[in-house]
Amino acid sequence: MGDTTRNQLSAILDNLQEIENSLSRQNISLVDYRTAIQNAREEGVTVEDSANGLRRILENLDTDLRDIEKKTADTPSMISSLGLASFLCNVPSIGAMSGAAVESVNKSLYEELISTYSSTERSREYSAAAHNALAQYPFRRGTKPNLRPKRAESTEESRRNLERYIRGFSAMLPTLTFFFYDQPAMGTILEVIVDRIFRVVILLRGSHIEGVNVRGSEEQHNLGLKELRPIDLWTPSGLEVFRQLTRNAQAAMLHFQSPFLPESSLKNYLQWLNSLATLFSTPCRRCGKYLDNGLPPTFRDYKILQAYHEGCRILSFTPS
Amino acid sequence: MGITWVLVYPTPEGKTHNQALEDLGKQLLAMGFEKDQPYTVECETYFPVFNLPGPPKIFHVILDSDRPASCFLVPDKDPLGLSIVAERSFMGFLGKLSKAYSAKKSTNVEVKGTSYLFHDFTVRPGVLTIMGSVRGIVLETELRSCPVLITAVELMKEFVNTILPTPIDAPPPFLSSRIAAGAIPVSHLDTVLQYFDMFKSVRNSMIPK
Repeated sequence: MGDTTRNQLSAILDNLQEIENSLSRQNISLVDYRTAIQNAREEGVTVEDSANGLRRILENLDTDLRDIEKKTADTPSMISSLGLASFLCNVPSIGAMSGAAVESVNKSLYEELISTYSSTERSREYSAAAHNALAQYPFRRGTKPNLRPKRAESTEESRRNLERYIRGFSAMLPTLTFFFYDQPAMGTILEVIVDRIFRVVILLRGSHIEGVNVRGSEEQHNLGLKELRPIDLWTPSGLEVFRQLTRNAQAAMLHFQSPFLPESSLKNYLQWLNSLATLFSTPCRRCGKYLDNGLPPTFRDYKILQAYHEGCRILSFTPS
Repeated sequence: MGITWVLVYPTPEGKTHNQALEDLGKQLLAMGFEKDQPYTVECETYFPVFNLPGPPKIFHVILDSDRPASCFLVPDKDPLGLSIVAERSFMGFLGKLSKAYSAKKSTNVEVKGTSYLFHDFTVRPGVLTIMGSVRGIVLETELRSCPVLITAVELMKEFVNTILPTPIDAPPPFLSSRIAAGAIPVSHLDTVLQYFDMFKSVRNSMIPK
Protein backbone atom coordinates (compact mmCIF):
# COMPACT_ATOMS: atom_id res chain seq x y z
CA MET A 1 0.00 0.00 0.00
CA GLY A 2 2.82 2.33 0.86
CA ASP A 3 4.54 1.70 -2.45
CA THR A 4 1.52 2.56 -4.56
CA THR A 5 1.08 5.83 -2.69
CA ARG A 6 4.65 6.64 -3.20
CA ASN A 7 4.38 5.87 -6.93
CA GLN A 8 1.34 8.04 -7.27
CA LEU A 9 3.05 10.86 -5.50
CA SER A 10 6.10 10.60 -7.76
CA ALA A 11 3.84 10.58 -10.83
CA ILE A 12 2.20 13.78 -9.61
CA LEU A 13 5.61 15.24 -9.05
CA ASP A 14 6.62 14.36 -12.62
CA ASN A 15 3.55 16.02 -14.01
CA LEU A 16 4.25 19.13 -12.07
CA GLN A 17 7.80 19.13 -13.39
CA GLU A 18 6.48 18.89 -16.93
CA ILE A 19 4.10 21.75 -16.43
CA GLU A 20 6.81 23.85 -14.95
CA ASN A 21 9.07 23.12 -17.88
CA SER A 22 6.45 23.91 -20.46
CA LEU A 23 5.49 27.06 -18.62
CA SER A 24 9.11 28.24 -18.42
CA ARG A 25 9.51 27.54 -22.10
CA GLN A 26 6.39 29.48 -22.97
CA ASN A 27 7.36 32.30 -20.68
CA ILE A 28 10.57 32.72 -22.57
CA SER A 29 8.73 32.61 -25.83
CA LEU A 30 6.11 35.07 -24.57
CA VAL A 31 8.52 37.50 -22.96
CA ASP A 32 10.87 37.60 -25.94
CA TYR A 33 8.10 37.55 -28.47
CA ARG A 34 10.09 39.92 -30.75
CA THR A 35 12.98 37.47 -30.89
CA ALA A 36 10.55 34.67 -31.27
CA ILE A 37 8.91 36.36 -34.20
CA GLN A 38 12.29 37.08 -35.63
CA ASN A 39 13.35 33.45 -35.22
CA ALA A 40 10.17 32.38 -36.82
CA ARG A 41 10.74 34.63 -39.78
CA GLU A 42 14.21 33.28 -40.09
CA GLU A 43 12.99 29.71 -39.83
CA GLY A 44 10.19 30.46 -42.23
CA VAL A 45 7.42 29.78 -39.80
CA THR A 46 4.31 31.94 -40.08
CA VAL A 47 2.60 33.75 -37.12
CA GLU A 48 -0.37 31.44 -37.47
CA ASP A 49 1.86 28.43 -37.02
CA SER A 50 3.47 29.84 -33.89
CA ALA A 51 0.03 30.76 -32.47
CA ASN A 52 -1.16 27.23 -33.17
CA GLY A 53 1.91 25.87 -31.43
CA LEU A 54 1.17 28.08 -28.41
CA ARG A 55 -2.42 26.88 -28.28
CA ARG A 56 -1.30 23.26 -28.40
CA ILE A 57 1.12 23.85 -25.58
CA LEU A 58 -1.64 25.48 -23.50
CA GLU A 59 -3.97 22.57 -24.20
CA ASN A 60 -1.28 20.17 -23.06
CA LEU A 61 -0.88 22.27 -19.94
CA ASP A 62 -4.60 22.08 -19.36
CA THR A 63 -4.71 18.27 -19.67
CA ASP A 64 -1.67 18.00 -17.42
CA LEU A 65 -3.33 20.13 -14.76
CA ARG A 66 -6.49 18.06 -15.03
CA ASP A 67 -4.40 14.97 -14.64
CA ILE A 68 -2.81 16.30 -11.48
CA GLU A 69 -6.15 17.34 -10.11
CA LYS A 70 -7.53 13.88 -10.71
CA LYS A 71 -4.57 12.24 -9.07
CA THR A 72 -4.61 14.52 -6.07
CA ALA A 73 -8.36 13.94 -5.72
CA ASP A 74 -7.63 10.21 -5.37
CA THR A 75 -4.85 10.60 -2.85
CA PRO A 76 -6.17 13.06 -0.19
CA SER A 77 -7.90 10.36 1.91
CA MET A 78 -4.62 8.56 2.18
CA ILE A 79 -2.73 11.72 2.89
CA SER A 80 -5.05 12.77 5.64
CA SER A 81 -5.10 9.29 7.10
CA LEU A 82 -1.40 9.55 7.57
CA GLY A 83 -2.19 11.34 10.84
CA LEU A 84 -4.19 8.41 12.22
CA ALA A 85 -2.37 6.18 14.61
CA SER A 86 -3.96 3.09 13.12
CA PHE A 87 -2.71 4.00 9.65
CA LEU A 88 0.72 4.65 10.96
CA CYS A 89 0.76 1.25 12.63
CA ASN A 90 -0.03 -0.40 9.29
CA VAL A 91 2.75 1.41 7.52
CA PRO A 92 5.97 -0.58 7.73
CA SER A 93 8.31 1.06 10.19
CA ILE A 94 10.86 3.46 8.84
CA GLY A 95 13.50 1.75 10.91
CA ALA A 96 13.02 -1.52 9.02
CA MET A 97 14.05 0.17 5.85
CA SER A 98 16.93 2.09 7.42
CA GLY A 99 20.31 0.89 8.45
CA ALA A 100 20.85 -1.02 11.70
CA ALA A 101 22.62 1.91 13.45
CA VAL A 102 19.86 4.40 12.92
CA GLU A 103 17.23 1.79 13.61
CA SER A 104 17.00 2.02 17.39
CA VAL A 105 16.92 5.85 17.46
CA ASN A 106 14.31 5.98 14.73
CA LYS A 107 12.22 3.30 16.29
CA SER A 108 12.03 5.03 19.65
CA LEU A 109 11.19 8.28 17.91
CA TYR A 110 8.60 6.54 15.80
CA GLU A 111 6.98 4.91 18.82
CA GLU A 112 6.93 8.23 20.63
CA LEU A 113 5.28 9.77 17.59
CA ILE A 114 2.66 7.05 17.53
CA SER A 115 1.86 7.45 21.20
CA THR A 116 1.61 11.22 20.83
CA TYR A 117 -0.68 10.79 17.87
CA SER A 118 -2.88 8.33 19.66
CA SER A 119 -3.11 10.49 22.76
CA THR A 120 -3.99 13.64 20.80
CA GLU A 121 -6.43 11.63 18.74
CA ARG A 122 -8.07 10.28 21.86
CA SER A 123 -8.29 13.70 23.44
CA ARG A 124 -9.88 14.99 20.25
CA GLU A 125 -12.46 12.21 20.32
CA TYR A 126 -13.20 12.78 23.99
CA SER A 127 -13.55 16.51 23.56
CA ALA A 128 -15.95 15.95 20.67
CA ALA A 129 -18.03 13.61 22.83
CA ALA A 130 -17.90 16.06 25.72
CA HIS A 131 -19.00 18.85 23.45
CA ASN A 132 -22.00 16.86 22.31
CA ALA A 133 -22.93 16.07 25.87
CA LEU A 134 -22.51 19.63 27.04
CA ALA A 135 -24.52 20.98 24.13
CA GLN A 136 -27.53 19.12 25.48
CA TYR A 137 -27.35 20.85 28.89
CA PRO A 138 -26.22 24.33 28.17
CA PHE A 139 -24.83 26.09 31.23
CA ARG A 140 -26.62 29.34 30.73
CA ARG A 141 -27.93 31.55 33.44
CA GLY A 142 -31.57 31.29 32.42
CA THR A 143 -31.88 27.57 31.98
CA LYS A 144 -29.58 26.54 34.77
CA PRO A 145 -31.08 23.53 36.56
CA ASN A 146 -32.19 24.42 40.10
CA LEU A 147 -30.01 22.33 42.38
CA ARG A 148 -31.43 23.71 45.62
CA PRO A 149 -34.08 21.54 47.29
CA LYS A 150 -37.68 22.43 46.52
CA ARG A 151 -39.37 24.62 49.09
CA ALA A 152 -41.44 22.40 51.37
CA GLU A 153 -45.20 22.88 51.17
CA SER A 154 -46.35 24.78 54.22
CA THR A 155 -48.90 23.18 56.51
CA GLU A 156 -51.44 25.78 55.56
CA GLU A 157 -51.05 25.04 51.84
CA SER A 158 -51.24 21.30 52.35
CA ARG A 159 -54.25 21.76 54.59
CA ARG A 160 -55.97 23.85 51.93
CA ASN A 161 -55.26 21.26 49.21
CA LEU A 162 -56.49 18.48 51.43
CA GLU A 163 -59.62 20.41 52.33
CA ARG A 164 -60.38 20.93 48.66
CA TYR A 165 -59.84 17.24 47.98
CA ILE A 166 -62.07 16.07 50.82
CA ARG A 167 -64.83 18.60 50.08
CA GLY A 168 -64.80 17.10 46.57
CA PHE A 169 -66.19 13.79 47.74
CA SER A 170 -67.85 14.79 51.02
CA ALA A 171 -71.26 14.52 49.31
CA MET A 172 -70.64 10.77 49.22
CA LEU A 173 -70.20 10.73 52.99
CA PRO A 174 -73.37 12.39 54.29
CA THR A 175 -72.93 11.41 57.92
CA LEU A 176 -69.49 12.95 58.31
CA THR A 177 -68.84 16.55 59.27
CA PHE A 178 -65.30 17.78 58.70
CA PHE A 179 -63.32 20.37 60.61
CA PHE A 180 -59.78 21.28 59.62
CA TYR A 181 -57.17 22.70 61.95
CA ASP A 182 -53.57 23.77 61.28
CA GLN A 183 -51.07 22.82 63.89
CA PRO A 184 -47.62 23.71 62.51
CA ALA A 185 -45.91 21.55 65.12
CA MET A 186 -48.04 18.50 64.42
CA GLY A 187 -49.40 18.84 60.88
CA THR A 188 -53.00 19.06 59.80
CA ILE A 189 -55.64 17.88 62.21
CA LEU A 190 -58.88 16.64 60.73
CA GLU A 191 -61.73 16.34 63.17
CA VAL A 192 -64.61 14.27 61.87
CA ILE A 193 -67.94 14.15 63.65
CA VAL A 194 -69.78 11.01 62.66
CA ASP A 195 -73.51 11.61 62.70
CA ARG A 196 -73.30 13.48 66.05
CA ILE A 197 -72.59 10.15 67.77
CA PHE A 198 -68.84 10.37 68.14
CA ARG A 199 -65.86 12.41 67.00
CA VAL A 200 -62.71 11.15 65.39
CA VAL A 201 -59.48 13.10 65.36
CA ILE A 202 -57.15 12.24 62.46
CA LEU A 203 -53.63 13.60 62.47
CA LEU A 204 -52.40 14.03 58.90
CA ARG A 205 -48.87 14.53 57.63
CA GLY A 206 -49.43 15.72 54.07
CA SER A 207 -52.10 13.26 52.99
CA HIS A 208 -50.76 10.41 55.09
CA ILE A 209 -52.72 9.43 58.16
CA GLU A 210 -50.44 9.44 61.15
CA GLY A 211 -52.73 8.81 64.07
CA VAL A 212 -56.39 8.32 64.94
CA ASN A 213 -58.35 8.68 68.14
CA VAL A 214 -62.07 8.19 68.66
CA ARG A 215 -64.05 9.82 71.43
CA GLY A 216 -67.63 10.51 72.39
CA SER A 217 -69.41 13.52 71.00
CA GLU A 218 -69.09 15.37 74.30
CA GLU A 219 -65.43 14.62 74.85
CA GLN A 220 -63.86 17.67 73.26
CA HIS A 221 -60.39 17.87 71.76
CA ASN A 222 -60.24 21.63 72.46
CA LEU A 223 -59.12 22.41 68.93
CA GLY A 224 -61.10 25.63 68.47
CA LEU A 225 -59.30 28.95 68.47
CA LYS A 226 -61.31 30.24 71.41
CA GLU A 227 -60.72 27.19 73.58
CA LEU A 228 -59.05 28.07 76.84
CA ARG A 229 -58.07 24.54 77.76
CA PRO A 230 -55.00 22.96 76.15
CA ILE A 231 -55.39 20.77 73.06
CA ASP A 232 -56.00 17.19 74.04
CA LEU A 233 -55.85 14.71 71.17
CA TRP A 234 -54.68 11.40 72.54
CA THR A 235 -56.37 10.90 75.91
CA PRO A 236 -58.43 7.73 75.46
CA SER A 237 -62.18 8.07 75.65
CA GLY A 238 -63.95 7.50 78.94
CA LEU A 239 -66.40 5.23 77.19
CA GLU A 240 -65.48 1.65 76.41
CA VAL A 241 -67.20 1.59 73.00
CA PHE A 242 -64.97 4.38 71.74
CA ARG A 243 -61.82 2.90 73.20
CA GLN A 244 -62.54 -0.25 71.25
CA LEU A 245 -63.46 1.78 68.21
CA THR A 246 -60.10 3.58 68.45
CA ARG A 247 -58.31 0.23 68.31
CA ASN A 248 -60.34 -0.81 65.27
CA ALA A 249 -59.83 2.58 63.61
CA GLN A 250 -56.07 2.26 64.05
CA ALA A 251 -56.14 -1.21 62.53
CA ALA A 252 -58.19 0.14 59.63
CA MET A 253 -55.71 2.98 59.21
CA LEU A 254 -52.95 0.43 58.72
CA HIS A 255 -55.13 -1.61 56.39
CA PHE A 256 -55.95 1.28 54.10
CA GLN A 257 -52.41 2.71 54.16
CA SER A 258 -50.87 2.97 50.69
CA PRO A 259 -47.65 5.00 50.48
CA PHE A 260 -47.99 5.80 46.78
CA LEU A 261 -51.66 6.82 46.76
CA PRO A 262 -52.12 8.54 50.12
CA GLU A 263 -55.17 10.49 48.98
CA SER A 264 -57.16 7.51 47.79
CA SER A 265 -56.26 5.67 50.97
CA LEU A 266 -57.61 8.63 52.95
CA LYS A 267 -60.79 8.48 50.89
CA ASN A 268 -61.25 4.75 51.56
CA TYR A 269 -60.58 5.33 55.21
CA LEU A 270 -63.24 8.05 55.44
CA GLN A 271 -65.70 5.73 53.70
CA TRP A 272 -64.94 3.15 56.34
CA LEU A 273 -65.58 5.75 59.04
CA ASN A 274 -68.83 6.68 57.33
CA SER A 275 -70.03 3.11 57.76
CA LEU A 276 -69.63 3.50 61.53
CA ALA A 277 -72.51 5.99 61.64
CA THR A 278 -74.79 2.99 62.16
CA LEU A 279 -72.79 1.89 65.20
CA PHE A 280 -75.83 1.65 67.48
CA SER A 281 -78.49 0.90 64.89
CA THR A 282 -77.10 -2.09 63.01
CA PRO A 283 -77.17 -5.63 64.41
CA CYS A 284 -74.18 -7.92 64.06
CA ARG A 285 -74.04 -9.74 60.77
CA ARG A 286 -73.17 -13.04 62.40
CA CYS A 287 -75.29 -13.26 65.56
CA GLY A 288 -78.04 -10.82 64.56
CA LYS A 289 -77.95 -9.09 67.96
CA TYR A 290 -77.21 -5.51 68.85
CA LEU A 291 -75.22 -6.12 71.99
CA ASP A 292 -72.48 -8.54 72.78
CA ASN A 293 -71.08 -8.26 76.29
CA GLY A 294 -72.55 -4.77 76.61
CA LEU A 295 -70.97 -3.42 73.42
CA PRO A 296 -72.47 -2.81 69.99
CA PRO A 297 -70.83 -4.22 66.82
CA THR A 298 -67.73 -2.06 66.64
CA PHE A 299 -65.99 -3.79 63.75
CA ARG A 300 -66.71 -3.15 60.08
CA ASP A 301 -65.08 -5.41 57.55
CA TYR A 302 -62.90 -3.57 55.06
CA LYS A 303 -64.55 -4.63 51.80
CA ILE A 304 -68.33 -4.51 52.11
CA LEU A 305 -68.40 -2.68 55.46
CA GLN A 306 -70.58 -5.14 57.34
CA ALA A 307 -70.96 -4.88 61.10
CA TYR A 308 -69.53 -7.47 63.45
CA HIS A 309 -69.03 -7.73 67.19
CA GLU A 310 -65.46 -8.15 68.38
CA GLY A 311 -66.14 -11.75 69.34
CA CYS A 312 -68.19 -12.58 66.25
CA ARG A 313 -65.52 -11.09 64.03
CA ILE A 314 -62.94 -13.56 65.29
CA LEU A 315 -65.36 -16.45 64.70
CA SER A 316 -66.43 -15.19 61.26
CA PHE A 317 -63.02 -14.46 59.82
CA THR A 318 -61.17 -17.50 61.13
CA PRO A 319 -60.58 -19.90 58.24
CA SER A 320 -62.43 -23.11 59.04
CA MET B 1 -75.10 12.64 78.17
CA GLY B 2 -76.62 9.55 76.70
CA ILE B 3 -79.97 8.04 75.99
CA THR B 4 -82.10 7.31 79.03
CA TRP B 5 -85.14 5.12 79.32
CA VAL B 6 -87.20 5.30 82.51
CA LEU B 7 -89.38 2.26 82.99
CA VAL B 8 -91.54 0.62 85.64
CA TYR B 9 -90.07 -2.57 86.97
CA PRO B 10 -92.97 -4.92 87.65
CA THR B 11 -92.83 -6.33 91.14
CA PRO B 12 -93.32 -10.09 91.11
CA GLU B 13 -96.36 -11.52 92.87
CA GLY B 14 -95.99 -12.24 96.56
CA LYS B 15 -93.04 -9.97 97.13
CA THR B 16 -92.74 -6.50 98.59
CA HIS B 17 -91.20 -3.75 96.47
CA ASN B 18 -88.14 -3.61 98.66
CA GLN B 19 -87.58 -7.34 98.35
CA ALA B 20 -87.97 -7.12 94.59
CA LEU B 21 -85.41 -4.29 94.49
CA GLU B 22 -82.98 -6.34 96.54
CA ASP B 23 -83.42 -9.30 94.22
CA LEU B 24 -82.90 -7.07 91.21
CA GLY B 25 -79.68 -5.73 92.75
CA LYS B 26 -78.41 -9.28 93.24
CA GLN B 27 -79.40 -10.19 89.71
CA LEU B 28 -77.51 -7.23 88.29
CA LEU B 29 -74.38 -8.05 90.28
CA ALA B 30 -74.60 -11.63 89.05
CA MET B 31 -74.83 -10.34 85.47
CA GLY B 32 -71.51 -8.55 85.88
CA PHE B 33 -72.75 -5.08 86.81
CA GLU B 34 -70.70 -2.98 89.19
CA LYS B 35 -72.25 -1.18 92.11
CA ASP B 36 -71.90 2.60 91.95
CA GLN B 37 -73.09 5.44 94.14
CA PRO B 38 -76.63 5.92 95.53
CA TYR B 39 -78.96 8.35 93.84
CA THR B 40 -82.25 10.18 94.49
CA VAL B 41 -84.79 11.94 92.34
CA GLU B 42 -87.26 14.19 94.18
CA CYS B 43 -90.32 15.99 92.97
CA GLU B 44 -92.05 18.82 94.83
CA THR B 45 -95.23 20.35 93.59
CA TYR B 46 -95.96 24.06 94.07
CA PHE B 47 -99.51 25.37 94.27
CA PRO B 48 -100.56 29.01 94.15
CA VAL B 49 -101.59 30.33 97.58
CA PHE B 50 -104.37 32.58 96.25
CA ASN B 51 -107.07 31.18 94.05
CA LEU B 52 -107.01 33.40 91.02
CA PRO B 53 -109.73 33.13 88.37
CA GLY B 54 -109.04 30.45 85.78
CA PRO B 55 -107.32 27.10 86.21
CA PRO B 56 -104.67 27.00 88.96
CA LYS B 57 -101.08 27.31 87.71
CA ILE B 58 -99.28 24.40 89.24
CA PHE B 59 -95.60 23.62 88.66
CA HIS B 60 -93.27 20.91 89.81
CA VAL B 61 -89.64 21.15 90.84
CA ILE B 62 -87.59 18.03 90.19
CA LEU B 63 -84.17 17.55 91.74
CA ASP B 64 -81.88 14.83 90.49
CA SER B 65 -78.76 13.81 92.42
CA ASP B 66 -77.17 12.97 89.07
CA ARG B 67 -77.31 16.70 88.22
CA PRO B 68 -76.45 18.24 91.61
CA ALA B 69 -76.13 21.81 90.35
CA SER B 70 -79.41 22.01 88.45
CA CYS B 71 -83.06 22.05 89.25
CA PHE B 72 -85.82 21.37 86.76
CA LEU B 73 -89.05 23.35 86.78
CA VAL B 74 -91.84 21.57 85.00
CA PRO B 75 -95.29 23.14 84.58
CA ASP B 76 -98.28 20.91 84.98
CA LYS B 77 -99.44 21.61 81.44
CA ASP B 78 -97.27 21.43 78.34
CA PRO B 79 -94.18 20.13 80.17
CA LEU B 80 -92.13 19.75 76.98
CA GLY B 81 -92.58 23.31 75.78
CA LEU B 82 -92.30 25.32 78.97
CA SER B 83 -89.90 23.46 81.22
CA ILE B 84 -86.99 25.38 82.67
CA VAL B 85 -83.56 24.13 83.64
CA ALA B 86 -82.09 26.40 86.32
CA GLU B 87 -79.25 26.46 88.81
CA ARG B 88 -79.81 24.84 92.17
CA SER B 89 -79.74 28.31 93.76
CA PHE B 90 -83.09 28.93 92.10
CA MET B 91 -84.55 27.00 95.04
CA GLY B 92 -83.64 29.97 97.24
CA PHE B 93 -85.64 32.24 94.96
CA LEU B 94 -88.60 29.87 95.22
CA GLY B 95 -88.38 30.23 99.02
CA LYS B 96 -88.88 33.97 98.58
CA LEU B 97 -92.00 33.27 96.54
CA SER B 98 -93.54 31.41 99.49
CA LYS B 99 -96.30 34.01 99.81
CA ALA B 100 -97.51 33.34 96.29
CA TYR B 101 -96.57 29.68 95.83
CA SER B 102 -96.17 26.97 98.42
CA ALA B 103 -95.12 23.36 98.19
CA LYS B 104 -97.41 20.69 99.53
CA LYS B 105 -95.50 18.07 101.44
CA SER B 106 -98.27 15.58 100.79
CA THR B 107 -97.50 15.48 97.08
CA ASN B 108 -93.75 14.88 97.36
CA VAL B 109 -92.53 12.00 95.25
CA GLU B 110 -89.13 10.43 95.71
CA VAL B 111 -87.13 7.73 93.97
CA LYS B 112 -84.17 6.30 95.88
CA GLY B 113 -81.78 3.61 94.89
CA THR B 114 -78.28 2.64 93.87
CA SER B 115 -76.82 2.92 90.43
CA TYR B 116 -74.99 0.07 88.72
CA LEU B 117 -72.48 0.28 85.88
CA PHE B 118 -72.05 -2.17 83.03
CA HIS B 119 -69.64 -1.14 80.25
CA ASP B 120 -71.24 2.01 78.82
CA PHE B 121 -74.59 1.45 80.50
CA THR B 122 -75.78 2.85 83.79
CA VAL B 123 -78.77 1.19 85.45
CA ARG B 124 -80.54 2.86 88.36
CA PRO B 125 -83.20 0.73 90.00
CA GLY B 126 -84.98 2.68 92.71
CA VAL B 127 -88.01 2.60 94.98
CA LEU B 128 -90.72 5.15 94.27
CA THR B 129 -92.32 6.56 97.41
CA ILE B 130 -95.15 9.02 97.81
CA MET B 131 -95.58 10.41 101.32
CA GLY B 132 -93.44 7.65 102.76
CA SER B 133 -95.41 4.79 101.20
CA VAL B 134 -93.69 2.62 98.60
CA ARG B 135 -95.49 2.57 95.29
CA GLY B 136 -93.27 0.62 92.96
CA ILE B 137 -89.86 0.17 91.40
CA VAL B 138 -88.47 2.49 88.76
CA LEU B 139 -85.71 1.37 86.45
CA GLU B 140 -83.66 4.03 84.73
CA THR B 141 -81.33 2.76 82.00
CA GLU B 142 -78.79 5.02 80.39
CA LEU B 143 -76.55 4.35 77.42
CA ARG B 144 -73.83 6.91 78.02
CA SER B 145 -72.11 6.59 74.63
CA CYS B 146 -74.99 7.47 72.31
CA PRO B 147 -76.46 10.97 72.35
CA VAL B 148 -78.96 10.53 69.50
CA LEU B 149 -82.25 9.04 70.60
CA ILE B 150 -83.45 7.63 67.32
CA THR B 151 -80.39 5.56 66.50
CA ALA B 152 -80.34 3.19 69.43
CA VAL B 153 -84.00 2.24 69.98
CA GLU B 154 -83.58 -1.42 69.08
CA LEU B 155 -80.33 -1.68 70.98
CA MET B 156 -81.89 -0.23 74.14
CA LYS B 157 -84.87 -2.55 73.80
CA GLU B 158 -82.53 -5.52 73.62
CA PHE B 159 -80.61 -4.35 76.67
CA VAL B 160 -83.67 -3.56 78.78
CA ASN B 161 -85.22 -6.92 77.97
CA THR B 162 -82.21 -8.68 79.48
CA ILE B 163 -83.08 -7.09 82.85
CA LEU B 164 -86.89 -6.92 82.86
CA PRO B 165 -88.77 -10.11 83.69
CA THR B 166 -91.40 -9.38 81.04
CA PRO B 167 -90.01 -8.09 77.73
CA ILE B 168 -91.26 -4.80 76.35
CA ASP B 169 -91.96 -4.05 72.69
CA ALA B 170 -91.86 -0.26 72.61
CA PRO B 171 -89.89 2.52 74.27
CA PRO B 172 -91.50 4.52 77.11
CA PRO B 173 -94.53 6.50 75.88
CA PHE B 174 -92.86 9.86 76.43
CA LEU B 175 -89.89 8.83 74.28
CA SER B 176 -92.09 7.50 71.52
CA SER B 177 -93.31 11.02 70.83
CA ARG B 178 -89.73 12.33 70.96
CA ILE B 179 -88.51 9.67 68.56
CA ALA B 180 -91.32 10.52 66.18
CA ALA B 181 -90.08 14.13 66.16
CA GLY B 182 -86.81 13.08 64.51
CA ALA B 183 -83.15 12.67 65.32
CA ILE B 184 -82.88 15.11 68.19
CA PRO B 185 -79.90 14.93 70.52
CA VAL B 186 -81.07 14.14 74.02
CA SER B 187 -80.61 16.35 77.07
CA HIS B 188 -81.03 15.61 80.72
CA LEU B 189 -84.42 17.29 80.60
CA ASP B 190 -85.68 14.30 78.63
CA THR B 191 -84.80 12.04 81.55
CA VAL B 192 -86.45 14.36 84.04
CA LEU B 193 -89.59 14.61 81.96
CA GLN B 194 -89.79 10.84 81.78
CA TYR B 195 -89.66 10.75 85.59
CA PHE B 196 -92.30 13.44 85.67
CA ASP B 197 -94.51 11.45 83.32
CA MET B 198 -94.19 8.46 85.59
CA PHE B 199 -94.89 10.45 88.79
CA LYS B 200 -97.95 11.91 87.17
CA SER B 201 -99.34 8.53 86.15
CA VAL B 202 -98.65 7.08 89.62
CA ARG B 203 -100.36 10.05 91.26
CA ASN B 204 -103.35 9.78 88.94
CA SER B 205 -103.63 6.10 89.75
CA MET B 206 -103.74 7.06 93.44
CA ILE B 207 -106.56 9.60 93.12
CA PRO B 208 -109.41 7.12 92.64
CA LYS B 209 -108.28 5.37 95.80
